[in-house]
Amino acid sequence: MREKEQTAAGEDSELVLLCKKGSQDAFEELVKRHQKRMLNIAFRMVGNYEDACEVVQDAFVSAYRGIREFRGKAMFSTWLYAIVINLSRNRIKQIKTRSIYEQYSIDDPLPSDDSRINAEPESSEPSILERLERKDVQQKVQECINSMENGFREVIILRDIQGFSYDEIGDILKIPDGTVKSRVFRARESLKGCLKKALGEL
Amino acid sequence: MECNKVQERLSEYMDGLASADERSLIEEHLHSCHRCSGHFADLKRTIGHVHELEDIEPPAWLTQKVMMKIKAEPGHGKGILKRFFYPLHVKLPIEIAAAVAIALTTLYIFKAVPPEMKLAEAPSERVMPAVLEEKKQSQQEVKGRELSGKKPGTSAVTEDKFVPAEPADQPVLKKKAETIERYAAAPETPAPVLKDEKAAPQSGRMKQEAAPASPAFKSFEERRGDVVSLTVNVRDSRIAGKEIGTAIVQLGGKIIRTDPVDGRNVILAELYYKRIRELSQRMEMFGEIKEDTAIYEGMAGNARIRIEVVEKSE
Repeated sequence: MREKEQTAAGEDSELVLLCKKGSQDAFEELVKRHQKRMLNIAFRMVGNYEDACEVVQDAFVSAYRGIREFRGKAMFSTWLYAIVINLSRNRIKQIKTRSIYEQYSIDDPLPSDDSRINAEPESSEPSILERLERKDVQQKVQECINSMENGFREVIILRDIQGFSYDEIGDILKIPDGTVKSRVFRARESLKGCLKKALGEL
Repeated sequence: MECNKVQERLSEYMDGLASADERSLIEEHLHSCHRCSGHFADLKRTIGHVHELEDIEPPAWLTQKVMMKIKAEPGHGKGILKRFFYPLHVKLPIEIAAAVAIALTTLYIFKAVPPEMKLAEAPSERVMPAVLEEKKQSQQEVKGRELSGKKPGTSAVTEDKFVPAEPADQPVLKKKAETIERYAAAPETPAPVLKDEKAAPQSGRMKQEAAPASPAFKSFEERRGDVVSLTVNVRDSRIAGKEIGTAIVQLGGKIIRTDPVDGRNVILAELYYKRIRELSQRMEMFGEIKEDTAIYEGMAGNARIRIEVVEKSE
């Protein structure tokens, strides 16, 4: 995945240059390239599809607005994902506020969100029971992730779901390497504990 | 390595970030330590579950929606605007100055174009109602003068001022009539008339005299179709033709057509009526002028002149 990122980064920089000159087509290309990853980050952050889609749109618009000032020093994707993480954080706060008003506790099991069912791609063949089980496990994992503190949630998503390197995580979250390491460690420990409770056993 | 230390390092070890030495120490420990290996197993399974979280696919409409929002952004307009005006403190004053310069230039051109404007300002006398009556008289007198065939040079106009409709012996009134004539009888120059400051106080009177002024209009329009015809007897029609042409242009006129033929040259031109006097004075320098139509008819603005240059057969 890292190699793919590097080659993609090179092509990104050309597109970014075009965007700076005002090319909307170039930006559209960037949108196509990064939207899946951004959506998955956002989705795991905010916990639901609808909010995640909105966050991604907002993130792209924000990137578009700021692209002229974007210095080519950092990787474009790093910058982009930082935006989506920030907006996701904001959205999480909003959701929490929303949930207070809706008398919905974030610790409750996630409502069966139809879009989520549709969003998850068909896996190869398994029986309905297996799928339900798997879905059940995944749901619980997601719930555990949702229940984590922000800082932990982010590193789990970036490290264990998205597979970014520690350096990249440091760039995205703008934290030093040592902090990344300790956070990853503690986040995993926290998740482990939560999952044990949720699943009974790992 | 102790259990605590090992457990701390397990995360990085799992990610392959442990140094070679550390790795061997940890592995050694894990080999023998139940707790730690249990710990490690838990860790792997936890991350395993996370890895099993499936990617979600973005909806098909996402790109489009994003692009729609982007196109709705004022960002691009601003960019162009920014490019024109940024840095604000430098470009904006320049652009304001440019706009002002253009406005002034336009004003200047506008002021310079209708020649009547200049003349209208020159005589500063106020119009008196009586003058209009005299003007009517003078029109008849002009016709008289036509027949008398006086040379333009001998008219009783004081200086170089060109009097259109007054008899020669009333220069002052003539000038006034000139003004009225111009105001009343200039269908093509209503704008300068309005704009001329000196005309403003007279405009009221003009309205009063609108009725009597109309015959003047008519005659002017009639006469506008007329052409001032002059014949010049010269030694060399070609040279004279050129000289006359130059003179016309110098006096601000316009050559419409020339018909040079052997021994003759007919020049059709347009010249501000006031300048015709001057032109004929110049032409006198190289030939004899015969005035076929009186120059003193009620003309204003540009007059058409037809100059026939004839070689004297001496």
